[in-house]
Amino acid sequence: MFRKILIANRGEIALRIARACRELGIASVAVYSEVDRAAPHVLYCDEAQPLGGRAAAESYLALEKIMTAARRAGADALHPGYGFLSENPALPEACRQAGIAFIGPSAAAMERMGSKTAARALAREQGVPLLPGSRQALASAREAEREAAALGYPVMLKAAAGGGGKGMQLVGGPAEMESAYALATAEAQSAFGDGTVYLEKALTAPRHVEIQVLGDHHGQLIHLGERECSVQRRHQKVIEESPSPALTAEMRQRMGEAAVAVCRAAGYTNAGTVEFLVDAERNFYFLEVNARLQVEHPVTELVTGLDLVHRQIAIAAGQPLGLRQEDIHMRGHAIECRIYAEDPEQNFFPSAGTIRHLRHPAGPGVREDCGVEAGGTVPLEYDPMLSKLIVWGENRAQAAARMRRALEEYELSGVRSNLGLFRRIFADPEFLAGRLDTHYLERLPAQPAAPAAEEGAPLAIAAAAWAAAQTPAPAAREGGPAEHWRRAAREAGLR
Amino acid sequence: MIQRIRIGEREFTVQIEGESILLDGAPVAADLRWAGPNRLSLVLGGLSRTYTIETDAAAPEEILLTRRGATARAQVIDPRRQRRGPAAGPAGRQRLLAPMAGRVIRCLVDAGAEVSQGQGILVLEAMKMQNEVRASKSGRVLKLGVAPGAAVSPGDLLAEIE
Repeated sequence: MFRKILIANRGEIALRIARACRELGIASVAVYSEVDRAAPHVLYCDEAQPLGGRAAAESYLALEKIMTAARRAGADALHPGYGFLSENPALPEACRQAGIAFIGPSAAAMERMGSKTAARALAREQGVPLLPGSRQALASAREAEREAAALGYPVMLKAAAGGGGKGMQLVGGPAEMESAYALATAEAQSAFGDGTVYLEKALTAPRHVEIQVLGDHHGQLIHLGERECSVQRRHQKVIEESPSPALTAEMRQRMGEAAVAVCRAAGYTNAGTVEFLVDAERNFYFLEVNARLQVEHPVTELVTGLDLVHRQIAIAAGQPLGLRQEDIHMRGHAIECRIYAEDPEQNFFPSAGTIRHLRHPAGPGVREDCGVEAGGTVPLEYDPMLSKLIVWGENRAQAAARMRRALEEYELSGVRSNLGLFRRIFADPEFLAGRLDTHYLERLPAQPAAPAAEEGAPLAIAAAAWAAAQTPAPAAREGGPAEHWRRAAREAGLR
Repeated sequence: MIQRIRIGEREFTVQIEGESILLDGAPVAADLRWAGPNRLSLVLGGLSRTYTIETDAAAPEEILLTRRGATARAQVIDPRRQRRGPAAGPAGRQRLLAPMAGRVIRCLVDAGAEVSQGQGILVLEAMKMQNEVRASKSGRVLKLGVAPGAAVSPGDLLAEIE
């Protein structure tokens, strides 16, 4: 087993991996940019190495700096997390050359999956159904227009190097192509350092369903069931759940087998995800492979009872998986909400700033993988995801009720967030009935059906008490709520 | 101390003297207890309500009370500050401000263009994402405050719409 793992990431995922390291008795090494010196992952890890720089390109995306940090720390393994360099084959290759184990697939397998056009070719060879689309990367907006005309609109422009919804544009007709092409290539360039895009025929109201796979270095490759991630905004997943309300056991088996076949053909090892679209007639189509741990992996952990990061580390250390397909059983239902620092009143624009107040939900079936602390700052340089709130229930209805309860307990201020959006979703009959597709959020009513207006009188009394506590008393400056509270605490301590 | 508190359309007077609380002049059996620096417990008529209370630095007379995921607003009416400042900018004119720091990628309209509510005015990039900044009312774009490539800070004027 490894002695020391460098975590080439930040935020909640760096913390999640560091926790696994601590559970396994492995030392963890954080890396940090100039703005992240006091970030939670740096505070938590056993060791820390500065990268310098502020922007991702000068810090968490700077491969040489990451490798220098790993050598300086004497790490014998490296976990890339998700995002940043996690799907760049240059990272596993650099690790191989440095004699550091990479916790993920080989550079060759990653390269095969990383190019979305190559992955589509691989799926085609395996007889996995595909959406029609361009086989090659597109050279220009004009070429995109020609291909789209042949396919028929609507089409989806996608980053060949991409994932996570960045660089994706839905194009409804030829008039939109030029600006959509420019936007997709610019976003792909800025997110992945590669502006190449391709296109696919777009389904009108698909569900997004993905299969988690896990493979060791001894030829064992299995799947851990599905996650449905249809609730999306601008192609970014917002809510994920497992199992999917749309899948039957028979579909799960067929999709699982297709996912395993594609990964086996690519020589894939470690954790990966095969994404599919499912249409209204429940046909499924291969979308792409994410050659890394996914943001939404906790929902699979909760329903399968497996710890994916522990498994990833054990696989990278050469241990056999010790699990067969028939050992995997899904139990109950899990749902995850991605809590972002973004302003719902400003078109969900990222909202950077200082977290003034943070109160986490707790209790039965609630897990939170949070990457921020009260008093901490949300830098504008990186992805604005703050936290993942995940619940488990015996069934979907119980899990949804539990999420609704946990969202009521959640308090966050200082930065704007999408918590209000989740509170609306978990009160929406369409969501609760599982009637989802990737356009679900566009249909969600802007306001809750029956806004539960707080009674005026109690609010007025509470507001007056607060205002009175803010006003300094003429004699002693006593009476502030902090003072009341401290006095109460002192009295309690004396008892 | 008598305080005037406005909740939505309604105005209340609240007098808190030690344990005694008068609401609109009538005594109420309300039990108040601070459970933390900004956490207030109110037991009233057998119902337990717990509020997390904050003030917004930008509007100090406005109090935000959060309970079970819902935030209500209350205003303290200060007799010494009855006069309210006018809303920013000339009447009917909308100043579109940068919601956060970022870089202007493209302008989607020209100065003088007629725009409708919700229409994209320009594209800002921040946190690796490109976002459209939209008009919050219909009108004519009086001027654009920025050009493509410009770096903007929160609160910078992006456009004025009349």
